[in-house]
Amino acid sequence: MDRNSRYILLWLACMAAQIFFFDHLLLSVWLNPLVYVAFILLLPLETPPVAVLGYGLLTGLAADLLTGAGGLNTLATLPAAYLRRPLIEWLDGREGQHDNGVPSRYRLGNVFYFSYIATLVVLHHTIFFAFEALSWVQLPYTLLRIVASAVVTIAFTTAVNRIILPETPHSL
Amino acid sequence: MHKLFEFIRSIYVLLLFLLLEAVALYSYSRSTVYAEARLLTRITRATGAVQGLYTRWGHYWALGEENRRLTQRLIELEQELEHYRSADEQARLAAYLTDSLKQGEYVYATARVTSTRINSGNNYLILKGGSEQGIQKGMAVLSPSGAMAGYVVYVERNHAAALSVISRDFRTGGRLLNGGEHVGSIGWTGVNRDHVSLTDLSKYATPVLGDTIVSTGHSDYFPENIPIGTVEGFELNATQTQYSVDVRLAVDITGLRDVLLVRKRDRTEIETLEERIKRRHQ
Repeated sequence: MDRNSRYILLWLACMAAQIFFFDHLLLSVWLNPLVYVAFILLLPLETPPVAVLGYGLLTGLAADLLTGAGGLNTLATLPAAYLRRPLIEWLDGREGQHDNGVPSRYRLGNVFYFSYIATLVVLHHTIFFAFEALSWVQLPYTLLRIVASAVVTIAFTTAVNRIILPETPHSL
Repeated sequence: MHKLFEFIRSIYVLLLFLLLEAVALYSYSRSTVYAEARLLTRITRATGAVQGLYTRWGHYWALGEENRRLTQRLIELEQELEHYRSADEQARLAAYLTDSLKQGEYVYATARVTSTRINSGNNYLILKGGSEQGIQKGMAVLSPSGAMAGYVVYVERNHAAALSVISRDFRTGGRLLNGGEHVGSIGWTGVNRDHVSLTDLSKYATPVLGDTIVSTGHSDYFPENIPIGTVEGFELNATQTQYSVDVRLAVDITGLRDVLLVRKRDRTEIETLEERIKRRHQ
């Protein structure tokens, strides 16, 4: 399977998981993982910023249309898409040069990879839940929702990375 | 001029991001609870259709000729069984509507809950029953034991969406059953799916742990004395003028299988009068 096909599969898998599974979780009011953002995080490192922004818009709009969220998913996804490149460059400056390709633990190392994924997932979830709550009164509970949901999204992102996108440095 | 273009070219991704973000923010700010419910109803229906399609395709490709005949037989038996299940469900739902309920001040209906959400700011119950089954927008949604669960915000022909009591947009009046006639405001704090708050309750009320909170009867949706929950805690505010009461809900939203729907029999007349008054003052 070529890289484009894998990314189409990744997008469909993320959206299907969000719509058919995570949106119907009845485990807790604290758990509302927004796993579709995994697609933006796992785009190839060399993807031009304007293209990442375009993919962010597409993914956010699709999530909004399929969940009836009225623009909230787009509102949260666009900053994650825009800040992806500056974050990679900042982490890269700290960790040394990386080659292009799919972001993975194998390619970037555990510290770079998890710093990158966790920062953008927490940013995305913070914007989403803050705008959903629109109140400072329940700030501790909003923070708990962000943390619990972000942990699941990070685990999901790492899982689909391993399953759909190979981890070896030269395969994609 | 050339330098200006160069400058804009160097930051066009940032400008594009800010423009798109502003549009997204505007769109979110204009989204309403009704639009949200409407989309959710349709998505639930589409989700069901897609899942049904997957199942049918899976069966078709996996089975040979012999298996197809067996499947056909299985479908016939399933349809026969579904007929009995449907009759059983209708009988179960009809049993809630006793003769005394049918003749009173309120119109009652019943429905099965097909989908429940608890992990959003506004959570909806999707009901299998719509305008063709007598369900109308604004009907109160009660558990089979009569506890407050929500109210209907959108109705299709065969489905309806109800805003559940554990939603930030849900507001109604409540009072202590044994603590005087003082009225407060019921709302979900977003903290716990089993609790709501009764706020703005006068300091002259006498809350007691375990006392029942009921609806006031001044609501557009709920009849008087519908149980909401029980008092689990209370405190006076900083100015010592009003109580804030922690209420454990009488209903378990995630455990709802069937619901009762209630509406004042003459509600349409009242709405017509209110509409006339509104027009007269415009």
